[in-house]
Amino acid sequence: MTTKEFRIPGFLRFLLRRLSDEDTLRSLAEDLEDRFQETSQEFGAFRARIQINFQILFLLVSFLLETTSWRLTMLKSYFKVAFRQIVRQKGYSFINIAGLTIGMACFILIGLWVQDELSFDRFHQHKDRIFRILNKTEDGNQIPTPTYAIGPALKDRHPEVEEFSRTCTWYGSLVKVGDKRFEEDNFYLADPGFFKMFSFPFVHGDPESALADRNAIVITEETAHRYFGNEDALGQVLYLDRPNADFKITGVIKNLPTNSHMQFDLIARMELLGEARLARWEEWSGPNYILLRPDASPAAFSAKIKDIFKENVSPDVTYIPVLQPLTKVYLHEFGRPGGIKRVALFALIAAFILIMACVNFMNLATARSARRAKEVGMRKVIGAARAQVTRQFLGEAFFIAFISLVFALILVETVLPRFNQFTAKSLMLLSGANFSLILALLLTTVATGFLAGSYPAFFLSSFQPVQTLKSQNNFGNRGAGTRKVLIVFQFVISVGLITCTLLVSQQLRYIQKRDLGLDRDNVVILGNNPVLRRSFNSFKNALQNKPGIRSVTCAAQGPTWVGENISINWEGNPGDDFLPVDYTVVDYEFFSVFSMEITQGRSFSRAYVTDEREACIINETAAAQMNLENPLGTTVYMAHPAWPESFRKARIIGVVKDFNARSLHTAIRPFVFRIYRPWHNYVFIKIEGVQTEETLKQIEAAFKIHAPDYPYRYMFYNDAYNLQYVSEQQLGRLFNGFSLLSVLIACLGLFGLAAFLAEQKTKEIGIRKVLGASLPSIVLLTSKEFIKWVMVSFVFAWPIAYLLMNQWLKEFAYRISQGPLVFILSAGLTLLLALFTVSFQSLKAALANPIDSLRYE
Amino acid sequence: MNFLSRIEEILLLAIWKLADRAYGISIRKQVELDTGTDWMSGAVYAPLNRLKKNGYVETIQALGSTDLGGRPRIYYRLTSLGEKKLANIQEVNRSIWTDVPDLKKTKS
Repeated sequence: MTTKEFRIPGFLRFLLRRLSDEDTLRSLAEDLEDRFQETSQEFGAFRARIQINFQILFLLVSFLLETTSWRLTMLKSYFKVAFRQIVRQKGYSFINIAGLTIGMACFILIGLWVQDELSFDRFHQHKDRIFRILNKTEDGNQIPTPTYAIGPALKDRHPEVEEFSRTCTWYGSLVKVGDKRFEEDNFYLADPGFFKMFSFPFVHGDPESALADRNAIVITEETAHRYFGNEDALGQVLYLDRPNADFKITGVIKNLPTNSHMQFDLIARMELLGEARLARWEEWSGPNYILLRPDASPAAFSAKIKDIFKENVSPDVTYIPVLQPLTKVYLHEFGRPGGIKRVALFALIAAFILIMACVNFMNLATARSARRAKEVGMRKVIGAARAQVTRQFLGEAFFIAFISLVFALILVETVLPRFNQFTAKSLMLLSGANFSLILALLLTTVATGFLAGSYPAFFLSSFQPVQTLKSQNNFGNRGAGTRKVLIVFQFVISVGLITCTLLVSQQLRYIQKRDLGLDRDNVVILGNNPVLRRSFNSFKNALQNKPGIRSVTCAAQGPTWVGENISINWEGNPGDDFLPVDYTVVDYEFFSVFSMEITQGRSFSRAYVTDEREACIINETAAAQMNLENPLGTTVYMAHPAWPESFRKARIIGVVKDFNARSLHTAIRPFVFRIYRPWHNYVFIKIEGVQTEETLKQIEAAFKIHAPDYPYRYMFYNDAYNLQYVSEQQLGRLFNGFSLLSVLIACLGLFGLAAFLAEQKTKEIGIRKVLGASLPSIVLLTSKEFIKWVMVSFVFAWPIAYLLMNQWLKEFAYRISQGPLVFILSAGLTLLLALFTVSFQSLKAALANPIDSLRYE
Repeated sequence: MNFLSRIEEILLLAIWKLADRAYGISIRKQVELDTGTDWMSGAVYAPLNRLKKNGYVETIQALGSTDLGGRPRIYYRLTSLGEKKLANIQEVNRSIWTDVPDLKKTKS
């Protein structure tokens, strides 16, 4: 019978060598070998291996106990001293632990957030081989909406492409299940390759063939539950009003993880869009994803397909396709750093807050070194080596860091639900076996302990025993220079953060208040649907007579979230260059609903029958860029591939005052309005704004009469508008929170130092008071030092904040200017807080009865 | 007077009994034989290591025989201090057990 070889694993051998002598180790190895052979002959190798592992575990414990028992006494002494220090110095301990707790809690929270941001789309098995195609234009912009024709073309013509899938959001489809109706917003269309590329786990059905059939549909578990309760959803039939057909459920997938950039509840075949639309090379349509074969090089493939648009669209096009790795889609949305900047910023802030808490620890420890100096002296006289003293103080720092970790974990656990709420994530502290997080936490704690404890440890251990034991000492002043630098550092961060917070909130207020060239108050949005579209005129008439309703219109988009663009030519265009413009299609009364001012000509009017066929209205910027003296009557040519040739020509009948069609990140661009009924996706109703409840009920009643099948849902335009700035508002709120915390930590530290200084100067203050010093002069005596350093910090903080915010504001085309007021305000606020913190201690010292402080000698 | 722990005593005795055949495995087996139970390796080698450190036993390499690694096997034997200690333990044990009747018999 052959027996398997057994060896003690390398790292155990290493450990054991430290704990026992070489001969014992060798006997031991032989013994284990013998045991292994015996057991494996009797019970087999597997059981022997398990048994031997138990032996080794016990072995390690035995040897560890053996060695540590000799050092345990000393360790116990350190613990006792550390514990006594914490208990005796309640105030300082509180400042240290509270500061570190807050710092670590911030660090953990932001760490969780960053981890989640970075984990986007990484759960896909083929994540390294999936690429999204971007259109890279001449000016370097990368737009994630290439033509839908490119996906199939790449797969057909290039063997490197294993699979492709396009995606599209299918808006406002009504889903009928039996007699139940659901309106679905997160409805995706995709190609059969979708589930072969992306690893969304299936509960029922087969990912390979799920979308093979034209009328196949895949839904999430949550959707299945909504439709069928606990019934089996696989094989059931759904009816969709667009395109008016039945669909068979061929798969149920697990609910999508929140860290996927694609979020959908239902997914059906791309062909619903119509073959013509999918085959159009000229249109910029939507996302295309491809899966490359494992042996294909993305760079080489990218170079190979460089000219695909030139070949298929026209030789004149200047944009080229580029491949973007799937893992970069979320944080580099337009091929450039986007969300990743925010991630980096917050990681930095988290680190800063933690460092500030460590600084408190260092400052207090060195300031209070006078108290510990005698202990250090005593230990050294008795025979402690410098290394031992260093180890003791480092140990104390670790001890405090671990206590703080426990508190921080409790704190994080408590605030996590709220944090999740406004970051719209579902973060969990310890979900399953989040091993890397636990490791990171421990590392952070050890790093914190080291960072906070190393300076005091080396500083304190350097004391000469003779000096410390002489009664006259002035150790409090040692390390004062470092302390000042550290205070300045803390306040640079605090003042910087406060300044940034103020500027961010100022800009956000500006966005809210800015005159966009239109009035978005009291506008109600309804989703349009095919039934309502047909009976729109009677719906409109029914509403217009009602009190509280001013006017009703419909359009493809709201005037502030337009994202469609097209190139236009016009009569009298001097060059061959087409003008890229934004456009949308609207209805009569659109301009009155949004109170947009027509500066020349007239608005669309029913009085002119031609308006629906050949009229357009442009904005002032368009008029200026087209260089038209009198734009009215000029013929404009809009080559929209979906429009019939006869509809592409339009005459300018009016000019509307400039308005912000996109978010304030971008400057106003030329804009064209047309009337085109089939695309009217939304209904906009301007209401009086008094008795809003009543008015909304009336709208609902009218809606129910005209489109009884559809669920009634509405939204106020202002809420929709604010959604555009969600990420900015999140940034603002996070900044608020973090700057508050940083000031809190800085002030905690200042409080501790002030207390220490006041205590040191007790006698001096007593003597001064006896000699007749006034209260203000004494307060000034103790506070002026700190105030000076806080003011020095302004000098550093201002330019840093200015440059940082300049960068951020640059992203807005319309922005506030950074006036001096904000800087003075932030400095004033900080100074006030610091003054308050310090003077609390100074006053206490100044008010004390001099007899108490002088009694001793 | 410095007393040894019970396992140390058992180990010393096992090594004495084995005389020049005392090496790792045989010592463990002797201990198991004497006490009638299985012993974890850690429970044997940690005290053995301690005995060596305190100078009661010493190790020698016997060139004649080899362990499974092909190197000379490590043998253990008592030092003179260890022998004295063992004699001393015997004396103490005898004295603490004098006049004690056989407990098992009296009970039943």
